[in-house]
Amino acid sequence: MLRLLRIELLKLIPYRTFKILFLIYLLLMVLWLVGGKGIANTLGLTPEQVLGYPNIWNYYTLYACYFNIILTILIIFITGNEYTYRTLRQNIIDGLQRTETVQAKVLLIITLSIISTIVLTISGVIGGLIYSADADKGRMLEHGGFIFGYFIQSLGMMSMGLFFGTLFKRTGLAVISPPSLSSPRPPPWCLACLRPVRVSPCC
Amino acid sequence: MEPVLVTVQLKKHYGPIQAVNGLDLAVQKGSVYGILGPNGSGKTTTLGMLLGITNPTSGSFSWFGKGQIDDNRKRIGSLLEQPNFYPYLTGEQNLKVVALIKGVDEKEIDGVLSAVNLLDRKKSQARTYSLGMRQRLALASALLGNPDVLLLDEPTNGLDPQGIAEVRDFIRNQSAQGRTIILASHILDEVEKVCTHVSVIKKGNLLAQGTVNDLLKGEDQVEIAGDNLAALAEQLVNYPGIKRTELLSGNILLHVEEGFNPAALNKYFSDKQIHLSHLVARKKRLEEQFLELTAE
Repeated sequence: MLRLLRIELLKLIPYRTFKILFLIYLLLMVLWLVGGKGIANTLGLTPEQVLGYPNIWNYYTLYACYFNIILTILIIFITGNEYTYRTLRQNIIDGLQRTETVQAKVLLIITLSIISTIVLTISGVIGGLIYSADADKGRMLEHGGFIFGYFIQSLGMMSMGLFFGTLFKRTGLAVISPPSLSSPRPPPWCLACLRPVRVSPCC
Repeated sequence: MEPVLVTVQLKKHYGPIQAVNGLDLAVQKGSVYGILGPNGSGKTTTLGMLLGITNPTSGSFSWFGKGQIDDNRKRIGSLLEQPNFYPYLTGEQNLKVVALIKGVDEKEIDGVLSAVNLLDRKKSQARTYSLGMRQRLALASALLGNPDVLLLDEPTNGLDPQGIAEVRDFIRNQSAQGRTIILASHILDEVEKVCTHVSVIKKGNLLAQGTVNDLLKGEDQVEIAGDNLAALAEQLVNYPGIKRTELLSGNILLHVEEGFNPAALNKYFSDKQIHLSHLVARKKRLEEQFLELTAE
């Protein structure tokens, strides 16, 4: 198992597109926290209500789900590359089992989901500490279930990327396919209906 | 001699097209085995099946007497069609991926890179390599893990004369180190120069299999002509050393055994008061041999 993950990471880490896309992802995650006041304003709420504990987990995961599109595109890219560079074939010739080629990608998706969830958790904790009203600072772990929801959503979305990348065998076609076009959550215009802050976890 | 590879009635059909039609091959340990056939004769399809990337329609094959298990491929170094690499990885990183797949120690990488003269370029991205360098990188990757068998499909394809010479030297060196080599090629000259055994296939059918010396050695031929060709041919029926007589327009072509003496033939005819107007002894060219083997 670890061997398959090492193979995937060996292919992934020197890949420039990966570095760029991952950087964009991190940037978006930070930008959301920085621009939190503006977002709260559009929702007609105070920053404490949106970015403070415990509601931050609800709102942050809600928006971060869109940022997962970037990671999904990355998965589509590397899946398509295996076909365009004919390296999938080469990997099998070199001795990888066919099932292992799929397992390796799934392992990579799980790893990336864990990483994105960690990023979300850490930045969420920091954001919450900055924006929370003093009285709410102790409510850090309330609504923590959203974090797990976010992990599942990342997993599902990247799996869709793997599926469509494998189906179309081409990066270009797969990128404009359902997983990147479809919204992981309700589209932004219906955010207004989320105004009652306690919404059921929909991840 | 134990066989490294045995195939039994290996078949691959693509719809109505029969790419490979019942191949029975046997490759002995330590041999340099050539699979010779014109383009589209099913060479690559055959190798693809042997390497597990194409499913045979029917028939079976067995590596090292162990059947078709996936782990067999870790003992085979192969270069199929063109070298496939991650262009954004360096030569060294590409080989690391292969080493991990094969379960080989990464320390071997420098060794195989120097075996193909790529050590000084190991930190460059594979996309910056020339075609010849990519081919050499593919050979280095095939060498990883010290495989028992090297399987090479058209390894000199698209290379310049120097590159071709390098690859041939490489094959001879590897063979000298005791590796079994399976080489698919449509270039007769290449097979003749490096192989010990050869099988000739055409449209997926096995036409001939044997040692290179038996199959591809230049056959002796004698051309004769005289006033009456039919009478000449008649006289030749019982002449020793003639395998086949071909009556052409204007002359007779004799396929003769090795050591045939044209002078004795001339004397034979003049003793019978028949005088030849034309007598030429020559070696049959290999191309003709190949074309004959693969003719309809």
